Amino acid sequence: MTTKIGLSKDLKVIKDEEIKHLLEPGELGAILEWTVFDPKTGKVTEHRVMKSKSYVQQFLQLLYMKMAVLIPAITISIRDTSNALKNVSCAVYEFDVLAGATSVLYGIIIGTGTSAPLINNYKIETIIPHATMNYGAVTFGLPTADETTSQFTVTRNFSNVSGFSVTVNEIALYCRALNSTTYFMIIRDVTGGIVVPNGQTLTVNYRPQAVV
Amino acid sequence: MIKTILKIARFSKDGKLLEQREQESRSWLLQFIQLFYLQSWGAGSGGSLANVRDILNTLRTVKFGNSFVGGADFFLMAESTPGNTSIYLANYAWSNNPTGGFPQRGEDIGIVVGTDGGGVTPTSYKMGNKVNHGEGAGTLLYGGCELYGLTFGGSNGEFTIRRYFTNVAGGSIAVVEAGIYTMAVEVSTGYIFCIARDVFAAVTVHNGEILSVTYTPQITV
Repeated sequence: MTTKIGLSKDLKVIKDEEIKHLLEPGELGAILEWTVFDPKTGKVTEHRVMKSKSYVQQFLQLLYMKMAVLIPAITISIRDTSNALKNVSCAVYEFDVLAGATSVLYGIIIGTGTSAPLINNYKIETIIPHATMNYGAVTFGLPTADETTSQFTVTRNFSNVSGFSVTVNEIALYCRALNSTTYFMIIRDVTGGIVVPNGQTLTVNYRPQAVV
Repeated sequence: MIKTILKIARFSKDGKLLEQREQESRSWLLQFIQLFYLQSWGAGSGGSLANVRDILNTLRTVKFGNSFVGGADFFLMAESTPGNTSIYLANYAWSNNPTGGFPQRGEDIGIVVGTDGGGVTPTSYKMGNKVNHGEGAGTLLYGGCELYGLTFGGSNGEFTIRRYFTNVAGGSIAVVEAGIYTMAVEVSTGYIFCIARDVFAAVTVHNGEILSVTYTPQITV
């Protein structure tokens, strides 16, 4: 009797210390890392690390607003995730991504869209809702630095409770700005397909980094 | 991914371009990442972040929520007034210090230049040897630091941060470093933090000449 073993994707686990060298000197960006694992056994079935490629228009607009300290009388028009143009100035909420569990309004967001990112994308293409993949609370790792790189980590877990496998093709970072109920997409990345079997958990890390 | 272009240009007193350099900025520092972290995390948590090193080499606990206009914080601010003009106006709605705000000299916010070409690490916390605003020997007149040119075309976007420096000191100054200073608040006092620093081959600014330094952050999708 022959036993066939399905060939899985070519998995490459990158050690933490190697993550620091994905960006070129002088680059300011983010590393996108994800892990799929079975919470019952702890077994990791996929782990990948890549440069986050796609800071979109809203990120640069918000950074400009922040560095220019735009006051309410001098706003900038930025498209929010509902496709509405909002007049934005400095406020309490500017790059806030600290979303609680179940929220699909901000923090790390996942979807099934496969279209290549464009600079004017303002939302994820096709969001995967909570209760298909349960959205955990966003957590943070404190800023650190070594001899070349400074970074911090934004993390969110997604548990597949759908009863089926779910393929995550896109990952985005949404933030609150202007006020507590206005949201903007600042990063959108296409993953090439992350298969999350029913019952398994996807952990996504965005690591904003600066390399000298 | 964000790349930042650093341009250094030298002009005669009548505005003729004498020299121009362009290079990729290498050096967004730990303080930038820390203040960006606080902005990303702090609004929801109302928390503070310890161990942010200011330009005096003192570790500060920077608190989110020391607000001014609309409740915003100062983190990452680069726009600034000229020279030693106070950067803040009295009619701003200070929430924690309504009588005086957090006044800082214009020369301590935004683009700064210096004369020490020592290397940069992520934990560099100040200019090696900042050239101060002034008219005396070894100083330059700092103009305002302005942000402009937020534009998008094709798959690219950028904006520019620019400052002019005028030499009226009577002698020449060899500028070899540029950076960006910003402000954040510990308790109710504002402190200055260095968020970017770059070194380059010397640009000698003679008496009467004008130096222009621009940082242009760019994104490409």
